[in-house]
Amino acid sequence: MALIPWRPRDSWWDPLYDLDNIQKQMNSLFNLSLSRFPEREAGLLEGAWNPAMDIYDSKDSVLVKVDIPGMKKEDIDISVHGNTLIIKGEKRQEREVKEKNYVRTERFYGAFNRAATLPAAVDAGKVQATYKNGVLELVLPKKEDAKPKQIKVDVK
Amino acid sequence: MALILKKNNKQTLTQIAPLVTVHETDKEVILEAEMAGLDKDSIKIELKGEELTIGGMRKEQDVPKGYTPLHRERCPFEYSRTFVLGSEVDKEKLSAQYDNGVLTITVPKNEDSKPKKIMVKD
Repeated sequence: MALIPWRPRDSWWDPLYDLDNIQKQMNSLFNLSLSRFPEREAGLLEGAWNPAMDIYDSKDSVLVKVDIPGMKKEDIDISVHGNTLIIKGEKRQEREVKEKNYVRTERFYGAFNRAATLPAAVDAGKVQATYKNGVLELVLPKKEDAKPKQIKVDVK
Repeated sequence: MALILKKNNKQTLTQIAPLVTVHETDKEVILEAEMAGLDKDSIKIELKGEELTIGGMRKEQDVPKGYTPLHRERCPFEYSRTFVLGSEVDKEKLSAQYDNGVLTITVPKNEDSKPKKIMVKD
């Protein structure tokens, strides 16, 4: 961890850029988890699998997409508390298979839990959720007073 | 396994191998691949000799209209994975289903690969 103040560096004239880059890469190497998506650093306490999530913002609503293939709609639990969105659920195996019949298993099963802080307070009663092709899509309309408003300045 | 291919300074899509679970019963071999976010028409299943390649391009690559991205973990990529099918299965009878983001491929076993009971004669 660097204790010198951070300044944005322009790569081609700064002689220290390469060293800084190497340090950054070493740091991220130590943070690298064994998950399939290393840019999501999984802490030790997180479950065996964590679905990938995207959050998009517009002035009227927040759009959230989560990749959770192989789930049943009733096993997905979505709740909104003010600015926080919590999506959890459990992926169950569709069929009973005896251990010896498995050739290869890579898919994760079990419970998952993801929480995200939304950019604005949303109206929990108006949230629309669809689950199609393994992607859970949530449209969360923002509360009226949370929408950005234009403030007119009268110049007198 | 993710591969980032750069051709002529243009980044082509990252290829990601979908997670699979393969198990077998007496009659067939069942392969389940997790490929979320694909439409039925963008799923590619190719059989070349003994090699089975499953893949698909995720259509939802771009930011939805009218939105700005705040947090992205689902980077655009293409699913692709190849398997070698042995001679115990009848490749012609391969069937596939795509449900809730999981592609299930079922291949029945050949007659002579099915387990047979042999009775001991007195």
